[in-house]
Amino acid sequence: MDKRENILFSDTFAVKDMDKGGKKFDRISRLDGRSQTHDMSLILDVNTELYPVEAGDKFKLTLSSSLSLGDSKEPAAFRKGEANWRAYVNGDERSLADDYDYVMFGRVYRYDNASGSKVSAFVSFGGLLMCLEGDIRHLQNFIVGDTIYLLMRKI
Amino acid sequence: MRIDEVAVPERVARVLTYPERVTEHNIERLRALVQRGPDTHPGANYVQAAGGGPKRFLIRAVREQTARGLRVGDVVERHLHDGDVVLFNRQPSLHRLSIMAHSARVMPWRTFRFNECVCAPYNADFDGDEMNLHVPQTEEARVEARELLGVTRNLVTPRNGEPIIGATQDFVTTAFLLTQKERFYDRAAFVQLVAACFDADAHVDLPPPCIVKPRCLWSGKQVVGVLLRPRRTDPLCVNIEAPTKSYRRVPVPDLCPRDGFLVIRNSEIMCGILDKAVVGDGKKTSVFFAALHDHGPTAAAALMNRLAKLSARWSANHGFSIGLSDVTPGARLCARKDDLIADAYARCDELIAQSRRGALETLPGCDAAETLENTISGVLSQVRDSAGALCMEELGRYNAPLIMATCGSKGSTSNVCQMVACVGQQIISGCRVRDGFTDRSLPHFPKRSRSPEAKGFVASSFFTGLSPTEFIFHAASGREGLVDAAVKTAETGYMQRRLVKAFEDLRVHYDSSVRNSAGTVVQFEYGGDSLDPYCLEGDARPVLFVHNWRHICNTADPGGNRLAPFQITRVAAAALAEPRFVRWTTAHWRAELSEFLAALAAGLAKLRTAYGLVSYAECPAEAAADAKTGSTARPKARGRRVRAQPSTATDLDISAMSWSLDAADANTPLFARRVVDNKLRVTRPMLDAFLDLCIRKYQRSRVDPGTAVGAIGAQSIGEPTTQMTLKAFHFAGVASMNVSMGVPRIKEIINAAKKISTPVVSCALLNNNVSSARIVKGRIERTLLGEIARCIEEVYSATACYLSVEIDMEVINLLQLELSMAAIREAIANAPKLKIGSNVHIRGTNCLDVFVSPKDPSQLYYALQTLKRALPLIVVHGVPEAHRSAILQSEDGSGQLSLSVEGYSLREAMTTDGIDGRHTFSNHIMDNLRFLGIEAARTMTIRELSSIFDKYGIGLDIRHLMLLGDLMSYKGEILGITRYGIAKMNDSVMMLASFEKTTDHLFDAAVFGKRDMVHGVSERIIMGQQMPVGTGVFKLLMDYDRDVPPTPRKLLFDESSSRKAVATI
Repeated sequence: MDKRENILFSDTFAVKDMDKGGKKFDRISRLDGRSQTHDMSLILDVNTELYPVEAGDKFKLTLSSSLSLGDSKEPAAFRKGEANWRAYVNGDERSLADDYDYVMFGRVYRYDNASGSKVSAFVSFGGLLMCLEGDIRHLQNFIVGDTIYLLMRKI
Repeated sequence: MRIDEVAVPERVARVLTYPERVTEHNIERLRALVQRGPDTHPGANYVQAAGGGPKRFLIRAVREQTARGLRVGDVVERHLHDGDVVLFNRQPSLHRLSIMAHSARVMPWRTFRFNECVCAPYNADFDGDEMNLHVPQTEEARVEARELLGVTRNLVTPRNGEPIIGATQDFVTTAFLLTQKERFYDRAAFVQLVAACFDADAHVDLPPPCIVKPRCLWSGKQVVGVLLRPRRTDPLCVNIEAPTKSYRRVPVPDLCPRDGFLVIRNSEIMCGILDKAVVGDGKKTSVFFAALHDHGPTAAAALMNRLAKLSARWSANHGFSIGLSDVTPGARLCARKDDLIADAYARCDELIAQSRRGALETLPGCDAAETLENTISGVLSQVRDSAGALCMEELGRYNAPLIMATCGSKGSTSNVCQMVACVGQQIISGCRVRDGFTDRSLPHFPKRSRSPEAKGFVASSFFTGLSPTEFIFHAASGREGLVDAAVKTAETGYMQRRLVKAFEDLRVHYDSSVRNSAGTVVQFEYGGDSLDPYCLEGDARPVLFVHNWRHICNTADPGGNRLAPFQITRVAAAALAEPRFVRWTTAHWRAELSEFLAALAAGLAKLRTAYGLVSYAECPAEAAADAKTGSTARPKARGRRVRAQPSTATDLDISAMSWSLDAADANTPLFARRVVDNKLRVTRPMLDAFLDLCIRKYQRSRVDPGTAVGAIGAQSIGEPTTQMTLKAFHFAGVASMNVSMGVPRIKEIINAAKKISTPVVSCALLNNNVSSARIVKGRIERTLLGEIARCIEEVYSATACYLSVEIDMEVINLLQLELSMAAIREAIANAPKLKIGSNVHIRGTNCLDVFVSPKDPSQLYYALQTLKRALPLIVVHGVPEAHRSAILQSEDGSGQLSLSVEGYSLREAMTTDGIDGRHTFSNHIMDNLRFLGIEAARTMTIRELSSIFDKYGIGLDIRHLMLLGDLMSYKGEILGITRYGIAKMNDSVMMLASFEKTTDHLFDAAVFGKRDMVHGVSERIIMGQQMPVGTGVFKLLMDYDRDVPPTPRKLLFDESSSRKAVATI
C-alpha cells in the first residue's frame, strides 16, 4: 500500500460482475469487484458512458483524502480536501489525478456491520455509491463524514 | 410565486382596500396614492378625516385638494398592494386550512393564482374553481392572520401533524427525474440549474464535482443539495433516512438497485431519489417535514419555494409530455397480457364447470353461488394486478405515465395498466355487474352466463378501445362513482355540521382542562397528555428520538470527550430528574426517552466488546474509588446545598463524569477505537444537545391554552369522512361476516344509533383450540328446529292430527350441541306466539309430536299448516339474537382464536361457558353502555372509530377521537351527535336555535323564560361579540377607545418635566 499519508486505501480489484441485479440505468453500471491482495469486496457505481468497465477488467483503485502527490513543492491548495478540484481543474500542476483515468469526489457517510470482523464503509460520490467491505484494519483510515477522492486506473 | 403568496388581479386590488392611518412616516406615500385616485392601481378610494366627518370618495375633482389637506391621523382607504395580508378561502370550508392568510401580489389579468403546493389544503384545482379573498381591516387583524392563519404556519394538518402542503405533480416529477443516478451536468449546466432555484439574490457555494476526471461533472443530486443548503455556512442541515416509494426490501437498504432508499446527511443527498414519499404531502418522512421541525416553518417554506422555482424552470427546458407512443404496448407486453387474460378466462371456465358439477368446495359461510362469485372475482382482480405489474416491468424507463406512477406525482400503476394493457373488472356496488335483463347482464350473452366477459370484465385497454358491451359496463360503473360522489357530499356535509355544532365550544383552559362554554369539564387534560396533534413529530408521539439523535450526530460539534456507556446512562438519569423534564413531561414519555438512551448505551457497550475494548457498561472500579475519595475529601463547604438525596450519589456522578474514556482507551489498538467511533460516537455535548432538543420539542408540542380543540377535532374527524367512499363493506376475516364500514358506520356511531346494521360481538375464548371453540360456538349460535330436524310430517290418523318432528341426532352430535330431547320439547313448548304449551310430546328417542288445538275445529287443517311453517323457525338452542357466528384466527400469527357472533347478544355471550367475559365486547356502543358501563362505551366508541379510519388509511390522531368519545359520554350516558344529543349537551337556546328546529327552541325559551349566558361561540357570533376561544380567551381589563388617538405624554426626562407631570404618569 502507498505510504503517502493522504492515501487512505489502495488496491487492485478485478471486476467480477456488472449490474448483478439487472441494468437499471443507461449510463450507470454497478460493478462487483474483488480485491487481489486484501480480502476485500467492492460495490461501485461507475459512469460507464465516461469510463466503460466490463466484467473481467482489472483496475487499481485508490482512495485518498486529497489530490496531493505528497511532495513539498505542490501548491498549498492541494493539501486541503475540498478545494482540491479547483486547483486540479484550473492549474496544470501535477496531481495525483494525473496517474489515473477516472476520479470521483465524495463523502464517507456510513459504517455498517458486515459479518464479524468485517466492516463495510459506504461512500457516496454525489449519489454514486461505493460499498467497500473488508477487514477493519484496512478500513481504519476512513472517518465518517470526511470527504475523499476515488481514483481508478485500468491495468 | 412563493407558496405564501396569492396573485390578486389588478381590478380586484382596486376594489379591495386597506384603511391605513396617516403617520409622519407614510404621509408622502399615501398622498401620492390619494392623488392617483380610485381608477389607477396603486391608488386610494376614500379618505376619512381624523376628526370624523363624512368619508370622502376620491373623485377626480377632489383628489388634489384632499391630497394637499392630508393630515396625520387621517385614514386613507388605499388599494391593495404587494405584501398586504389577505385571507384566501375555498368552499367547502371543511377544515381550518380552508382559509389561510396569504401575502397579496397584484398582477394583471383576471384570475387569482397561487403556488400549486397550496392546492392540497384547499382541495383546489384549476378547472374553473372559484375562491374568495378577504382583506383584514386593522393592524391587529393583520398580525393575527399572518401569525395564526399564515400559509407557512399551516404546513401541517392539525388532523395528525402530517404535512399537507408539499410538492405536487410536476414538482415531484422534477425532483424525481433530477435525482436519478445517471443525471450529470457540466459546470455551465449545473450553475444554470442552481441559479434556477433562486431569484438571483442568493450567494451560493459551488460544491465540488462528484466526477473530477475525465470531465468535471456534477450530479443532479448535488443540485438538490445546493437547493437545500446553498452555502456551507447555512445552518439548514436536513438529515433524513427514509424509504421512498420505489424502495423494495433489500438486505442493505442503501444498495437498493432502484436507488429507493433516501439518505440525506447535512443537506447532501447520499443516496436515493426524491419522490412523493419524501417531497410530497402526507408523509412525516418528508424533507420539508424534517426542515419544518428542525429549522422552523420559514425554512421549510423557503425550501418548497426553491423546489417549485427549480421545477418550473427545469421542466420547461427538459420537457415532459405524454403521447400515443407512451401508451402503445409493445409486442411482448401484448403477448404476455393476452396470455394472462386467456389464463384467467380458462381458470374461470374451469371454476364454472366445477360449480355446475357441484364439485366446487364452498367457502365457509357461503353457498355455492356466492363461492363461485367470490373465487371468480378473486381471479379477475388478480388479472388487473398482475397486468399492472407487467406494465411496470415492460414499459421503458422513459415512459411518461410510468414515471409519473413510479414517483407518485400523478396516477397509479392501475391507471397505467388501464391505458396500456387492460381495463379490468368493473365493479358495481361491491360485486360484478348485475343482471339487468332476465338472467343476464346484456342480451349479447347467453342466459345465466357467469363468464368474465358477461359480467363486466373489460379485457381491452383504453388504447385499443372498448367493445360495445365493455363500454356499457364501464359506463355503468363510472356512473356509480358519480352518483356516489353526489350522495356522499350531502351526507358527510350534514355530519360535519353536526359535529362542529356539538364540538365548537370546547377549548383548552389555562389549567389544561378541556371544558365547554358552561365550564363543564370534558377532559381534565387534553388527550391525557396535553399534546397538540398539530405539533407532533412522530405518529402520535411528540419527539422522534431516532431521527433527532441522527440529526444531532450529524450536526453536533465533533469535539468533546467521548462518553462510556455507563456515563451515558448517568447523564440521562441526571437530566431526566431535572425540573424541566419532571415538571413538563409525562412519566411515560420520560420512560421512553430513558429507554432510548439505555439502548444507545447498550449498543455502544456491545460494539466495544465486539471490537475488543472494555465495554464500561458499568462504572469501573477506579472511577468509583475516585468518587469515594472525592466525596470524603470534599468538605461540606456548600452547606446550603441540601438535597433529598444524600450527596454521595451526586458526587459519584460528578467523579464518574470526570473519568475519561479517552484516557482509559489510550492503550487500545487505534483501528478498534476508530471503527467504534465511526459506528457510534457519543460525546457530552452531543448528549446534552440531544436532551435539550428533546425537551424543547416536547414543550413546543404542548397544547396552548385557548386552543379550540373542539372545532379542530370536529373538522379533523369530519373532513376525512368526505373522502371515504360511501358504500363500503368490509370482510372481517370470513366472507360471511360482513361488517359495515365507511361513512354509514361512522354515522351509526356518532348518532349513537340504537339499531345498527351489523352488530357483532367479539368474544375471547378461554380455551384456545378449535374443537372447544366449536363447542362454544354451538352453545351460543342459535339453532333452529329446522336445522336439526330430519323431517317434519303431518300425521292424520283416526284419533289425532298432529305434526311429527323427527330430530336428527347425528347432526346434533356433529355440531356438538348440548341438546337433549327434553330441552327441545321445552323450547318448542315455550316458543313465542305459537302458544304450543303442553301440546308437545316426546315419542321414542328422537321424535316429537306437536298437536294443535284450534278453537274452531273446522280450522284444524289450516292451523296445522300454519304451525308446520312456523315450526322450523323455532329457536331450540343458543341465543336467539345470535344469527351467525364464526371462529376467527388472529392475523398476527399468534394463532389466537376468537369467536365473532352476529347480533345483539353481548350479555348472553359474556355469560356463556367457555367465553372469557372480560375480553368480550360488542361493536354496538349502546350494548356496551348497557352491560359494561359508560367507560366501556367510551372506549369502544374510540376504538371502533379509529379502526374505521385505519382501514381507509386515513391518519387521524387518537386525541381527536378521545375528545369525541368524552364528549359523547361525559354526561354519564352516550349522547349522539344529533339534535337530541346536542340539546342535552348544551343549554344555550341561541346555540340550539342556530342548529336545528329554530322556532321550537325559541318558543320554548320564550314560554319558560330561559336565560342565555352568551358564553358559547355561536351565541357570541349571533350577538356580534368576540368569541371566547383562541386569542379571544383573555381580555384587556382597561377600557380603551381605539378612535381617540393617544394623547401625547411628556416623558420623564423631558426638559420641562415637573413634579406634577411625573405624578400624572
